[in-house]
Amino acid sequence: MTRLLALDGWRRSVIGGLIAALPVVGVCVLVLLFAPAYVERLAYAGLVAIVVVAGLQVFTGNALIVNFGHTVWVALGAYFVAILTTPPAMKALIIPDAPWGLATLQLHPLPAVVIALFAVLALATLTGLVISRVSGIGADILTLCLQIIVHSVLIHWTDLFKGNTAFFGVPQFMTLPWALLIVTVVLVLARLFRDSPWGVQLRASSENLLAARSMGVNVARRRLAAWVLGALISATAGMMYVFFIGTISAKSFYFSYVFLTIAMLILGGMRTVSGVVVGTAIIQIGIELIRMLENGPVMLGLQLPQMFGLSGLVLGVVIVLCMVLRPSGVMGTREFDDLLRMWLARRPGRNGDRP
Amino acid sequence: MDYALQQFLNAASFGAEYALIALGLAIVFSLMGLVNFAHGEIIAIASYAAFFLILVGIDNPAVVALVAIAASVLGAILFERVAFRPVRHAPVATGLLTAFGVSIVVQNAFLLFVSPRPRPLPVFGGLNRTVELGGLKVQLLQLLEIGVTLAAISALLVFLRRSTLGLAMRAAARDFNTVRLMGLRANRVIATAFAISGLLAGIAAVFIVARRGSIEPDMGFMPVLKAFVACVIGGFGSLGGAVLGGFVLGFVEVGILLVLPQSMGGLKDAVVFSLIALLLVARPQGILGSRVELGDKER
Amino acid sequence: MLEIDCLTVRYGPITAVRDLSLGVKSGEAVALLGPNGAGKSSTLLAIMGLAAGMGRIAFDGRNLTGLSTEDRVRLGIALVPEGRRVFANLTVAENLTLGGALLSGRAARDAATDQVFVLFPKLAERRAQVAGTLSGGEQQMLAIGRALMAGPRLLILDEPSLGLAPLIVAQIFDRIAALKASGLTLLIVEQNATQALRVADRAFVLANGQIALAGNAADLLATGNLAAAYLGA
Ligand SMILES: Nc1ncnc2c1ncn2[C@@H]1O[C@H](COP(=O)(O)OP(=O)(O)OP(=O)(O)O)[C@@H](O)[C@H]1O
Ligand SMILES: [Mg+2]
Repeated sequence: MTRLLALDGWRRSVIGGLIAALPVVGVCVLVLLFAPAYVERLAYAGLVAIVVVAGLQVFTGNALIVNFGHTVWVALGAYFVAILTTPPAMKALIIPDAPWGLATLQLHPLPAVVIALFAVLALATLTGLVISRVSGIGADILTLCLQIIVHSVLIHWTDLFKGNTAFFGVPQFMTLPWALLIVTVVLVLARLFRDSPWGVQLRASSENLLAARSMGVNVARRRLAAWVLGALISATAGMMYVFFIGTISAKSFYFSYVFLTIAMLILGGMRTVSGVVVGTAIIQIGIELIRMLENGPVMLGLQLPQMFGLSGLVLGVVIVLCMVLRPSGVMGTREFDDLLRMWLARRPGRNGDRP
Repeated sequence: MDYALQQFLNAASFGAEYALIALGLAIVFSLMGLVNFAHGEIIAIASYAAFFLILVGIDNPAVVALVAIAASVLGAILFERVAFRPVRHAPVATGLLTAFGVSIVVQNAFLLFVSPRPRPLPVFGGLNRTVELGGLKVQLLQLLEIGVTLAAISALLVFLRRSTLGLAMRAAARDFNTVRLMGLRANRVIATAFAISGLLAGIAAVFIVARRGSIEPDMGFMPVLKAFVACVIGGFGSLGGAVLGGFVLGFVEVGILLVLPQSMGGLKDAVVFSLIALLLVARPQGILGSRVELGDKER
Repeated sequence: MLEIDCLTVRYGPITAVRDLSLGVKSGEAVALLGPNGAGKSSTLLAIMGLAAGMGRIAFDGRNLTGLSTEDRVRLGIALVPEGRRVFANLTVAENLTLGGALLSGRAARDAATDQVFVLFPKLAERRAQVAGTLSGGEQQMLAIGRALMAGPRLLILDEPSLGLAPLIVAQIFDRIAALKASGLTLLIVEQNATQALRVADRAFVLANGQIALAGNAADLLATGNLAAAYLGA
């Protein structure tokens, strides 16, 4: 263990990413072994959220530009694979008038995923070229614009996206173990990016733009890279989601989901990948508990009233308190492995234990 | 001719609404670098105050409007005191996210304690009638909206040019610490800015409620989003830019509705926001903004 | 009038001022000299409550600890900040109005403005001009005038000669001398030691956040000790 922690360079990032994934794997193994099916579904939703928040972290966490548009990629990833893999018989019901012969096309999920990722890559590069050029508040607003543009296209291009109603009939083959594998890979990727020279330059530029520029860092390029990688990760989350649930509707990726995932990122601490895991876990579990209250359960023999809005209220309070009391989130700037290393170094008699 | 005038008034009244809201955002931003995402909830607070007033049986529109505006002023001051003061010197992202948390809290409070569904509120419905003006038929609401907005902007201009507190606000937008060196209390200057932004939002809320005739928890979200866009078009933090951006947005929206075929009317927002994005690419600092970078503004 | 005891100012890991003690008596002019980065401005910011300092600062026997910047100004301390910091988007007259924000009533403000115009006639000519377009010398006059508007009992100047031509520097210091003659208490931070020592009664030389030399202004001007302190001997 000590030896693993002492590794340097990209190996350290890989180990760090794996350590961040470790608690997730542990919880999921327990769920698989002992928990009822509905808990398994909740755990799956949690894994999807981790991937979404990780995608958000790659851009927002490193560039410190608040991104209100990241769920666009979740939605697009989900819709793209849905359109490509749903059986034509089903599509005749949902999107009979789809353009470019898509109504009769059916692909195996693997090529579909590859094509969808390339489509997202192209769109993300295009939008990223715009957004990375703009600094400060303008960039935040542009991500908002993006969210609204894509959402209204999803809603109004009914021939392709089915519009306001749910798109259903997508093959459901994903399982918890596969999702776990994806989560692990994504966390390692996010960590690799964070520690890479580009990630470091981006974080430096977010603290002092002028200094980074004067040192010759092409800030726009670094932002673009983070934007595109974040988009690809978010799109993966969308695919995980749709291949498990089998249906999608654009509404579920709109602002309430944006806010939820941003809150997860903030609470965990946006500067770290470990924070993604922490924040998502706390909020996902917390919201699930509060939802039970919202539906007006019977408690100690009392029928409690329905309380819609309670989970949102708590979410908002958590964000405000977090910003006021601990703006850098639970993890601050330290990853799990940094904490481990500090803990090991502090243990008596273990000082000099390094190879 | 009548048709052209009608469209012009449409655009100008939308523009006036955006300008009112955008101005409030810009005042707060110019002073303390806060992107006040909770501004929409000030509008909601004004509207719900009107709703409660009707509930207790007070239904004189003028009284209801005044109380609604007062409620939004108080709401804005309260937001500052409770949530924004602790993050005053924090980076922009922290302030933005705090505001965004406040917004979620207030929205969900209305959802929880009133109703998640829209509630009818026809108290200002009387404004929706048509009046004759020099032989032309125009909507009273639109005339009022344009007139009141212009009056509010003029009053604000006088305040900023004539009163010591107004001068202090203009100065503090550039250099807050030196204003404090004049012995002016920072808290008072900032509270005034919030009060003004609340006042403008309250006025806008009356018009918004008059037009839609109902209230719901997230009713402030879309107008404020538009106002943000207006600010960005004009140059964020510039008061003139906010007004200009508001009117530009109003005219662009109405223009696009005229140009788009009926079947694609739903894509209005997509087209508007794409145009805005293009504008930002060409001029990242907005129309009136000067090129400022991080580190340019004093603490 | 002003007493500083064991003042330390830190910015994170950097200690800008270390254990500094000095006093300014009523009616006196004191110069605080030292090279770049010596900690002069930090000392002044701590006096005004704009930088967090440890130690005791008292004005008229009253401990300033815990008082906000605004309250310190209200007690009668005025700072002319480094780099002038005039409100560039406001006119000269508006700058002066803000300087007199604490005065009650238009009459009091007009009287104070007239006094400033007597001291700096140039400002009267430029009263409607936007301050950002003034020359450096005029801006310095405006910054001093603005600080005088509130009728302070202690005027603190941070490098009034910064970036000005020798002729203008001489003019500014001539006005500062006039202020001193009128009985105003002054604390002047300067790099231009000769000018400052001509006006001052006493002087302190700061190096690396500590007092390296202190004494009568006239003595310091006469001996060559000053150069040694500057060079960090
Ligand atoms: N806000 C700050 N954050 C970090 N360090 C600071 C800050 N302000 C000043 N310093 C540091 O404190 C030290 C003293 O600075 P100060 O401005 O007091 O010097 P000074 O004597 O006024 O110099 P000059 O004559 O150049 O104005 C310097 O090393 C400076 O880098
Ligand atoms: Mg200095």
